[in-house]
Amino acid sequence: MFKSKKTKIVASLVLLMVGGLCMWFILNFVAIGPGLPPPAGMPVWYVPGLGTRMENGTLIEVRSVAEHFELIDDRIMDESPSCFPAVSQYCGYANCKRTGSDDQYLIAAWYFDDEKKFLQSERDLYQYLEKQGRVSTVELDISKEINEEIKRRENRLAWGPTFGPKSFDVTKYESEITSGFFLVYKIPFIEGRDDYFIVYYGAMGSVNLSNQTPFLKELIAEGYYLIEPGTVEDLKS
Amino acid sequence: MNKTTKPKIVTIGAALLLALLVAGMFIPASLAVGTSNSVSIENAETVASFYVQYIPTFITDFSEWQDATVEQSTVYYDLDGKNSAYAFNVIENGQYAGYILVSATRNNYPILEFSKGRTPNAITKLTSCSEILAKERANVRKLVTGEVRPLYLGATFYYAEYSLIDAKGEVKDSVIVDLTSQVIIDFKKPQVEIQINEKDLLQQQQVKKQEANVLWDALEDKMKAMETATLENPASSGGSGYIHDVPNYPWYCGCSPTASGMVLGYWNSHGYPDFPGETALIEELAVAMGTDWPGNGLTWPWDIDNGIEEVCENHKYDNFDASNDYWMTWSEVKDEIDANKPFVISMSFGGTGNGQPKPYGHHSVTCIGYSDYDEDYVFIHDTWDKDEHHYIAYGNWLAAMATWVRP
Repeated sequence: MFKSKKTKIVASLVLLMVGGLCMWFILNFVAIGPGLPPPAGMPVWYVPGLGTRMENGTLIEVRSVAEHFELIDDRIMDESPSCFPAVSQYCGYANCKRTGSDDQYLIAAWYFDDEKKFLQSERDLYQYLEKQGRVSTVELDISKEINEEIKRRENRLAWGPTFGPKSFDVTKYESEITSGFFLVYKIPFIEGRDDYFIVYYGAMGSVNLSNQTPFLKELIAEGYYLIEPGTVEDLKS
Repeated sequence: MNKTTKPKIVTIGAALLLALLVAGMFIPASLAVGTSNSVSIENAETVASFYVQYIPTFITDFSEWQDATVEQSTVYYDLDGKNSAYAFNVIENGQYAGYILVSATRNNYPILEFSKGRTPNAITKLTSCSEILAKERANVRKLVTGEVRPLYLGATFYYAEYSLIDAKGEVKDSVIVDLTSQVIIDFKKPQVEIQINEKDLLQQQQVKKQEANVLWDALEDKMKAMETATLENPASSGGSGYIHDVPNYPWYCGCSPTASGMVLGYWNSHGYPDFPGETALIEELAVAMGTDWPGNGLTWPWDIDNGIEEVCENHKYDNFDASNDYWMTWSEVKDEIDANKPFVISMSFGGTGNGQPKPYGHHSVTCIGYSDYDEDYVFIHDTWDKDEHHYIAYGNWLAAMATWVRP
């Protein structure tokens, strides 16, 4: 690239200085934010993963989710759980179990940064669910669970926006493989920005969904995040 | 800053930034010319072998790496065709368990990344898409794609460079695809003239180079010591600091007001109880630092310190001093944490935090701790996780500014 050693040194110094200026420029003239994950990182917003905590100078792995659950393994990103179609490339899921039981649960999320794609995928998913199991719309009230989650966060010096309705329609899904609830979060961060999530909270196996609903509501409250005028609603056919 | 001037600044800024980035990316390559600071792949493998077994001694969620081995995976290049980094697969019980990225030059920090995930060029979906883009570009120019070369130009800058070949089989050009954002990057396009403060810039680069060399020396010393001794307690050779009671907030109104809110939230429970609750505090910070909210949540870096001070003054805390530091050093980070003063780090082109699937990009986080061993890490509340902290290697960004907040 350079013909003489002197040229190399001069070129290196010039580029070094330009690079330094680059740093200064970036720090001064590039706005910070909005600070939300890129599309491929979005599913983590509603899918819990392993965390870490410092105890006595050592990092400890944290598996707990909400009050009564813990992750079986870390969340899996860029994959849809095998029981559902990959309606978005931006997806992920996590399996967890309830403390003191053998019951297993699935939390899955599909993210869309385009309304058209979202609407099409929503329809596709709905049709798939109708073929695989029973689908209906029910109203869930998570007021109690949200209040408990707020207290839990306070104890952990945490906080999160819990704006929006605490009682809303969700899509109830029952099958032999998994049963649970689908929530659709529309534009939960910034008005005018296309962010759509389909989130599933379900119990694995053939279960009585009524018995599992209180536990699933705890998981839903743990992940609940909505900044108005965003909405949370059921799947549309 | 008058709001009406921002679009113009953004436009000019975007053009300048692109040009500067291109220039900046050539630096590691150019510096390597004529220097003896290159690291052979054999030496890098020795470092990687040592380090994968060392990581579990200070990060328990990598405990399964304790008996892991490494195998050579990918050699990364810079834009000049010189080695920039080596990736090694981490193998545990015969299974892939992650990767570790070691610098190919002593001018950069020795351990660039490690993760249980995969590098972008090992993700088929990303490489397939980049190949399609490269072929489309080749078709337009009536050429075909040839060999592909992986490029690593620093945190988050993973690219694939495809040679473009004509009908005679001669390489006529190349096309570079950003593996993360899946776009073609044209490094030759921007041309700008820039006035620079040579002294400051050289000094900063020199400091970074010196820090990297110190880390290399420390790592090699430790490896030598390990040849005759068992793994020592990491606490004997380094240190860590952590502020336990910094609150954790997820993103709201923008990352800068959220990260700043955590700092003031901490002070709220440490002798300054008149700050409002979380929602009102973050909203007030967003207004004070001119965050575009309601809007896109963007904040100009130079407004962050002023915004924090304004909110403090609003609540009769005139004694708070908030200041932006564009040249944050590692010793300042440690001093601040040791003094139990959390602060805001605003990074540009930030890398990936542990447990997070994607890089932070242009992002503000709250720094709550550090780990100072052979490799330096900062513990952060990153606004993407409402429950737990994350950590990121110190320097795993293109640029970073600290906003110190001191009562």
